[in-house]
Amino acid sequence: MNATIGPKAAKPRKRASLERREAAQGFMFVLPWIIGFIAFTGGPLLFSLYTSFTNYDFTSKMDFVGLDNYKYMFTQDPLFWVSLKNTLFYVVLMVPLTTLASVTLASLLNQKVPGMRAFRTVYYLPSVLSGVGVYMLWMELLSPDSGIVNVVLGWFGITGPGWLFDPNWTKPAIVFMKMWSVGGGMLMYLAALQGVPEQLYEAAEIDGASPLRRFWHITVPMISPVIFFEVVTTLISGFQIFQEGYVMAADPGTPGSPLNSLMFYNLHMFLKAFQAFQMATPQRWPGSCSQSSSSLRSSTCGYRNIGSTTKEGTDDERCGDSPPGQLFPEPAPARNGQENGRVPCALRRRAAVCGPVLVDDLDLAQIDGRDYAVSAVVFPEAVALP
Amino acid sequence: MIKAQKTLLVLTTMALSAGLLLSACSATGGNKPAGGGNASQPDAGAVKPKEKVTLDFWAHWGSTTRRPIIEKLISDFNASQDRIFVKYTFVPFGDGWTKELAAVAAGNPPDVIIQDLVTVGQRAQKKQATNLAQFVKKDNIQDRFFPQLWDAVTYNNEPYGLPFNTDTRFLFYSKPAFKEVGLDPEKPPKTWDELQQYAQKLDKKSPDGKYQRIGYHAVNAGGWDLWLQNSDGKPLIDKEGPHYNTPQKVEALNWVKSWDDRLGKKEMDAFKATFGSKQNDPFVAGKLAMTVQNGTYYAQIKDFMKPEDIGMAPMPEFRPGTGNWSVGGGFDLEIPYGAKHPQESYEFMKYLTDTAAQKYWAQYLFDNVASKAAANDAEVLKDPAMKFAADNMKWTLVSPVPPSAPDYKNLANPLVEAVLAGKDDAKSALDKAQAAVENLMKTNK
Repeated sequence: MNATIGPKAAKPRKRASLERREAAQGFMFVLPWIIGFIAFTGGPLLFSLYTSFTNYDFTSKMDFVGLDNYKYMFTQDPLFWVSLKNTLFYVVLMVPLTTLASVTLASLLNQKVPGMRAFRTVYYLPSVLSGVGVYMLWMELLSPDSGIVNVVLGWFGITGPGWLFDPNWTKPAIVFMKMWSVGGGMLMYLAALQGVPEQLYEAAEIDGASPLRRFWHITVPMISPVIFFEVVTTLISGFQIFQEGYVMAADPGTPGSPLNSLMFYNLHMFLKAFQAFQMATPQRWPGSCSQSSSSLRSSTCGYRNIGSTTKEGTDDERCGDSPPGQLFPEPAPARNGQENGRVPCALRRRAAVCGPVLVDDLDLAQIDGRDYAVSAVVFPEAVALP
Repeated sequence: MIKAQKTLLVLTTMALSAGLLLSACSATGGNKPAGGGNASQPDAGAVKPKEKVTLDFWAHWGSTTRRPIIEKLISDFNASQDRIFVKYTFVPFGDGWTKELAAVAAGNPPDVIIQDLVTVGQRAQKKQATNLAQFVKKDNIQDRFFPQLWDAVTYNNEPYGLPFNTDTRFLFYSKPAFKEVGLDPEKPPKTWDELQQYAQKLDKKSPDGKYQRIGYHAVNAGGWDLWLQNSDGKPLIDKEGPHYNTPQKVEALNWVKSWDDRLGKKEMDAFKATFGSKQNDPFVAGKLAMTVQNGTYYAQIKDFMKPEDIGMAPMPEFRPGTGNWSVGGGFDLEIPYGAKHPQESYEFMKYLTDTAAQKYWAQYLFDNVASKAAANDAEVLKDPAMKFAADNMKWTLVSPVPPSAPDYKNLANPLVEAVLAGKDDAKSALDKAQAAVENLMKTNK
């Protein structure tokens, strides 16, 4: 008896220690993530939960104030409900429309037509672009008078709205812009569509199902997991909307303008934190903390960088390599031509097309919506089009 | 044996990752990477005070026009003495201030920084800027500056910064356009009524009904806030609180709206969308006959228009005798709270705000400086716009933002915008704005 029990009893012990070792190794592998989570997500998350009960302002104070911040947010802050309403309105409008657009687009691009690869590339391309460059582009496209959107509407006898200048049209304008870059979701749907077994369609066809029926009863159920995933991620990204309200405001000195119609929840939170230094307002919890604060930070940095790039142009972007102007020691350098050697191609092209362009200096700082200094005007006559 | 090795491996890896994390933390918490050679400096300074002190100076002047000037000023300062060495760090506009905030919170800020003049009080209250009272006491430095700028850098009557540069707005007009419609190019409009009459004469429409030239537009070529403050010479907000709903301001807002009513709000929005982006200047292109801009505008356009075609005039008055009020802002030099060498930093700030350095800045950049003596220096005044700006400072309102209402504009601006959009009347909107800002100040007290 003993002889049989002995080894049997020893075996599970050995297995247990093996399992333990494997578990330890598993933990080792996830350790970097756990540390990262605690240091950069969990920790700040709990910290900002705590600070929402204090009057923390970064530098001078952090006293416990109980529920005062929450009371202020829900009952007194005039912008909290506005920003929440704007965000919800945007999400409710954007999620179904972009989902519908990307499913439709994916179905169209799933047809067997010659040159389909080129079409797929064309429709996917916009989602490669991101950030402020795209917003700038759309601000031009949506310009009420000269923007191409209203010009095209004009061909059909439709007087286009003021888009970003009309408070009723600002959010639809942004949704419109978002629908242009549905390529990312489209790609997911396309992959899912290609995974739908051909024989299901064949069987349905033999049974006499119309194309619409086949789509509704075969395609949609087969790709519904991808639709679910896409809707969830689009919802999340929809609630994170921030840059659009900051960059595309009608009055650059008033983020969220016109009439607070682009005052989104995250934008309001950002302004409270970094303009009023009210780091502890509950708006920051739970939407903020490390993750979204850092994404907010990077987005604003991105804005600044791109902003300064478009304003000044990096060296690489400059067309024509005239040597950097040596300002010293002449008091007033002749700017025409000389300056033009150092401005971005885009501006020079623009000058050729639209006439004189005032180039904002990097020092052209906007404080309270006012300019501080401008360095040069690019004139068409000095432009050499590349 | 294998087991022991594995345990050892596990422990080593854990220790390493923990070490990595800790060192990462201490790197961000302790020494700022921006410091570079600066990192070891504080200790050296503390142990041997005779040794040279290195100051880290942050500013947003990185362009090919401004950077050489500020670097020249700094190198002159470095050469003038052997105790202090100033290192210039360019930080992108706006980003530098957020970075400063993080650095102050971490206890390792730069030594001197260029900051926004009208929000000094906020940083003073929040312990982000160093109180300069003890340094200033010794040498009556406030006499150097235009009084409204000095007022802006004080909080509870103690200075927290030294004004560096400023700006002031006034009327620019196109003399050829004046001649074209039969107006005397040497007689710019003096009052609001005149401005309106002149503007109507200067408007030019093409046969298809689109504006080829607009005489003037209050919002797009000046701003409603400027005209509201011009009406009664009282800032929209100052240290005491908001002044939104004075009778003059109500009237002014109605007047501002009247431009939209006459020219068409939609047309003006479209006009703004094509030109208001600041990349394409309507005045230079001849699409706008009069505009309100700050003094540096002249330097930007004079190479592209005949200088003798550019007329300059003070802001028109609300009524004869009410004053040519204008608005301005600017930048100041501050020592972030917790900086290691305030004495040396102050010395450098004193140098930068002294007449010689300020004159150099004004002369080479055509920028309006905070020093009265430099702004009125004979050589600087040779430039007509610089002279005009120096004279205009007496009409320039600078409104320091009260620390209890740093984000007052987020509340008040949309209410005023509603009037311009025709959704509210001026009196009720300005009453609401006044109440909203007052309430904000009360809750932040």
